[in-house]
Amino acid sequence: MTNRILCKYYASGACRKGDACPFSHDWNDPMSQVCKFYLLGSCGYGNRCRYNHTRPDRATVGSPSSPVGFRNIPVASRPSPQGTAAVSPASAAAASPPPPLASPGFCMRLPENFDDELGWGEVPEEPEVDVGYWAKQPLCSMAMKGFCARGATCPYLHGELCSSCGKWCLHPYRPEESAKHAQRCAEERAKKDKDEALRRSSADVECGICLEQALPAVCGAAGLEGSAGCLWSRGAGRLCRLAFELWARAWCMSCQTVMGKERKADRRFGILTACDHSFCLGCIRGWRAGATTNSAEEVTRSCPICRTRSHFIVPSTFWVSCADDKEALVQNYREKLAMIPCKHFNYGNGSCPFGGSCFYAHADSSGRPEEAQTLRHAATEDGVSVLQPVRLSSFLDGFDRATRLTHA
Amino acid sequence: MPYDAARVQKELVEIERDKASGVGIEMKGDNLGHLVGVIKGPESSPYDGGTFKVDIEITPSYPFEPPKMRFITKVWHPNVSSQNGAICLDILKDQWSPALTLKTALLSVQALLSSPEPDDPQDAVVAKQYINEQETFRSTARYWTEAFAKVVNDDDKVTRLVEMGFGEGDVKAALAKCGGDENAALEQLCGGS
Repeated sequence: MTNRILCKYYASGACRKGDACPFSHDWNDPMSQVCKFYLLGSCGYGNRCRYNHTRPDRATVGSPSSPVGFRNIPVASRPSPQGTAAVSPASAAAASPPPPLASPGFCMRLPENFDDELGWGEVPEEPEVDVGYWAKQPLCSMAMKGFCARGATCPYLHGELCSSCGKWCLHPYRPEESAKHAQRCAEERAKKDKDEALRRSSADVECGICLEQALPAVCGAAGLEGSAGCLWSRGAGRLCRLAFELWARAWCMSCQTVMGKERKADRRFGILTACDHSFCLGCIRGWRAGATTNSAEEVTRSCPICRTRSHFIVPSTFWVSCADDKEALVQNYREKLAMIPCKHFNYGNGSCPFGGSCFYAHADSSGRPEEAQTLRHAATEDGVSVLQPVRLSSFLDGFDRATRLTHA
Repeated sequence: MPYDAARVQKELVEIERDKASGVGIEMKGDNLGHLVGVIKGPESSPYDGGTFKVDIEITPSYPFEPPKMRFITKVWHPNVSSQNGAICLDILKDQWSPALTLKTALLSVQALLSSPEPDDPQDAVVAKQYINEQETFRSTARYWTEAFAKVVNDDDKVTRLVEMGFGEGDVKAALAKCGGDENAALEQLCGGS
């Protein structure tokens, strides 16, 4: 099987195995674009997978008669697998709305009299396009990224530009899928933009403990937009994260802007639920963990500034100033935690000191949730202690027995 | 790094900028872990006109732990030990919060000078005097302020010590060794002779 699949390294001119490569080094062979995990049953990336989630038809993929193997124009004379009117990618491009090959993702220009040379110029009516067949064909991954070296000779379909993600990934023959993609992309884009705006607005929020900004500050030289300009002004969201990191660091060191925390993991806020004072996550966690031996728990559990007691803190990559945003953040945090199994509960083998108010999931190994239990807190000489769970039903049982005894 | 040096540095810059607050901090060499706070005696109190020095030791887990503060200058105050200068103030103990800074802590000490808390004393003798003999307490406190907390020029100190019969060179050397403390210099001069 593998010897009929084009080596992806060879395709990009980088295969070092030469003749020993188990994959084909013949441009005639197709490249595998099918996700191998999908074929095995499950792909962790789901819809986000960069490979195709399609089960290839044995009759088409890799077989010499398959249109996937087409590489030369003209191919109009080749019979289509369905036996309908012959359609080549090129002619489909000319005929179908939207054309698969007319997208601006190609640099390769066809000669002006190309159609005449092939004798297609005289075709009076547009050839019929077998939509059903083309809908099954995968998109060219290279064209998806913006440029396919094979241009018009590419055996794969070339998609259309998705304005949100900037990839040529809209399948021309799968309108439903394309619409869904465009919608999802637009939503993601809107969310990203919102996050970016939030990040920008939280850049100058200072931690009350270390007195530093938790996030990298917006560079003061942003005014240089267009020239050397700060990365922030050039839409950092679109760049590689690592590149962004290095770039921003180098730049801001040179202009002496406070870069916030050294480690990226530290660039987070610890949002207190009861008040609106800002702290970075590391600082507020350090304080609440009881670094001081002298301080009572009621002191460490309260806000260092206003001393309002918060029962928990929520990590956030941006500062929330609006109450609705904060509520959504807390809700989101709790929902996320509820999906993580509680290590104290240990699938029913242990006991969690937080009982029913634990944020983590209390479920046994089969996923069945724990029955709700009541915890009783009683004031003892030492303070507050947690007793064994006591149920109302246990009192009722006792009450039942007592009444029965009385009646007897 | 034993303590958050960046934060201490920021606090120092902030204190330096706000000179009107009546508190200040001096560096003891290059060590950020050991500083000297300077508090001006609050007006309309027996400590008015005095300049009190506070020894500040930044603990390794600062700002999660309070800095250790102790009066270097002798103070007659119910909440300050007359023997070793220890301060009894809740925010320097269990009520410390990392949002407090050296400046706010020094301001709190300054506020403590103007409003003593005899119910929670550090020095029982002073507290007793404060409760029973308010006038005596005030005069003693004022006397201690005059005697220990007044800034005296080095020249005056030298002149006074020379008048006592010591050589000028010895006096200057002794003063330099004791960091300008006239009494310590006197003791050294007496001990050495």
